[in-house]
Amino acid sequence: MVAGVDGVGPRRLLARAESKNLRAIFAKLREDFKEDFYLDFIAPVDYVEERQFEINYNVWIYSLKTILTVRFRLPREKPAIDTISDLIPSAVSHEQEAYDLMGITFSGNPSLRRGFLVSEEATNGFPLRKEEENKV
Amino acid sequence: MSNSKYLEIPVGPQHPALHEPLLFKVKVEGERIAEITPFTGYNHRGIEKLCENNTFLKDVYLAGRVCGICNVVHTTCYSEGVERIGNIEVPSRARYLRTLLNELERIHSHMLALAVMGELIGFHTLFMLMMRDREPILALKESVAGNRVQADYVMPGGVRKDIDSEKIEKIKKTLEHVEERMRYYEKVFKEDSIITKRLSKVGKLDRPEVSKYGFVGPIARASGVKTDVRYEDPYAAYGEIPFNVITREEGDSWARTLVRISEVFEAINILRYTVDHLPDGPIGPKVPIRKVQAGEAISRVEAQRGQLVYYIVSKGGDKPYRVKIRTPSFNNIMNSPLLFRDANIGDLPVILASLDPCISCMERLVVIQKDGLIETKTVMSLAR
Repeated sequence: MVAGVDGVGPRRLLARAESKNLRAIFAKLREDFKEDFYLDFIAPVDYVEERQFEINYNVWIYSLKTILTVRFRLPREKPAIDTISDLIPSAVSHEQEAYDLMGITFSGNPSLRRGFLVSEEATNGFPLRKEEENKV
Repeated sequence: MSNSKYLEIPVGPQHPALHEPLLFKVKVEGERIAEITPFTGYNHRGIEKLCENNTFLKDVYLAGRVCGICNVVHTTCYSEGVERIGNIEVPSRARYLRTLLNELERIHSHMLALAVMGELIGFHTLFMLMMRDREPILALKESVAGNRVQADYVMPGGVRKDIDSEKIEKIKKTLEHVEERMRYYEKVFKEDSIITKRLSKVGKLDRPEVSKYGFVGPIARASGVKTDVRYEDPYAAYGEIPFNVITREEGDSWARTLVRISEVFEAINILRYTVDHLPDGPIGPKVPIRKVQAGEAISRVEAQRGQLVYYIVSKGGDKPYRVKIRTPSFNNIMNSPLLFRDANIGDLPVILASLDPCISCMERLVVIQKDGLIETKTVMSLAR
């Protein structure tokens, strides 16, 4: 599922994985750690030169006192990944934010809509994408 | 829930309970809350995007302006993130001074939250008295940083101003006074029968829901989760300072209030330790840090309302490539409909105040609670 886990600093772990494994990874986390972790934040980054989006799921594990980042790469054309909002209810608002600011689709999350930060009419795009540099 | 047995009451956005914009649409059946919908987004300024377009140095000031009352924690979190990327060593005196200002901010923020709680229960005098007793802390903050509220004190690599023995004496004297007053307020919140009746068993949050819904800070701690960045993931000088993480088991509005009161006492102890053990030495680099090497960092600090996170990506140069800010109120308020389950409409303001919401920190979303499920929609989609 995960292509290795690296320590990237004190109390920081980084795992890279393929996006098709996202739900399996979070189901496994829930099974292994139960109530011992929470979803801290989802951070999408636009790597425009590499024509990819990176999306980082960060969970804080209470007992290990560690933040685990699970990192995925998505193609910049029609970026989509599965939702985890049914596995982890707090993911709803994080996914909503990532969709509205960066335009990443979370398949299976029915509540994704535009108009969260700056309306689509005003920017004609997703405001945190790099091509929006001079529009906001 | 479209039938007419429910009455819809808008609460806000010009709020009777808060001095910040937030709209609650509440559907009530008699006195019982059947459905509650918080509408936020009246205060969004796109700071993440602004950070990408400004330099590392200018972003310190942007971070401080995410929220007035938490400006020191925001600048601390941002600066620690930049230091992690650049492997920048912070002198120990500067780390202690950061701790000092962070704890001063925690005291005045918690006192404000407690005062607002008093006001909402109907004790206007309690509000006035607590606000009066909070003022010396703001005066201390001004004497250390130069400003009552917007400190802009923490910079990458250190802090901006030093303190002398005269200021240390002033801090110690003021803390004595504040501690005495807080003992009195602790007694009021613990023993006054009106307060205990208004807050006990109201807005209950169980332990498993804390991790499931990602509640953070005093709200998580009041439900028995021992989580505190200062203890779990130390920053500034917290790794060298002894202090207790306050937790309670009740999980109701009263527990959240008492956690804040106890944290004020802990903050007073931390401050005393800090000024007594303040190391000598420089307080930061002689020249401001303008460029940072390529890299990325997750920086976490314990804000007054819970864990605050900055994720910063640098590709080298003088501007960050990406700055992601996740504020504690984002987690706490987005999932708050859970706490209003079957509550009385009269309990809405106290439950809300027990979360100590900070709307400036939050982002633009709508959350709808329907039959226990949380569904998310945006303002625009509802307007269509």
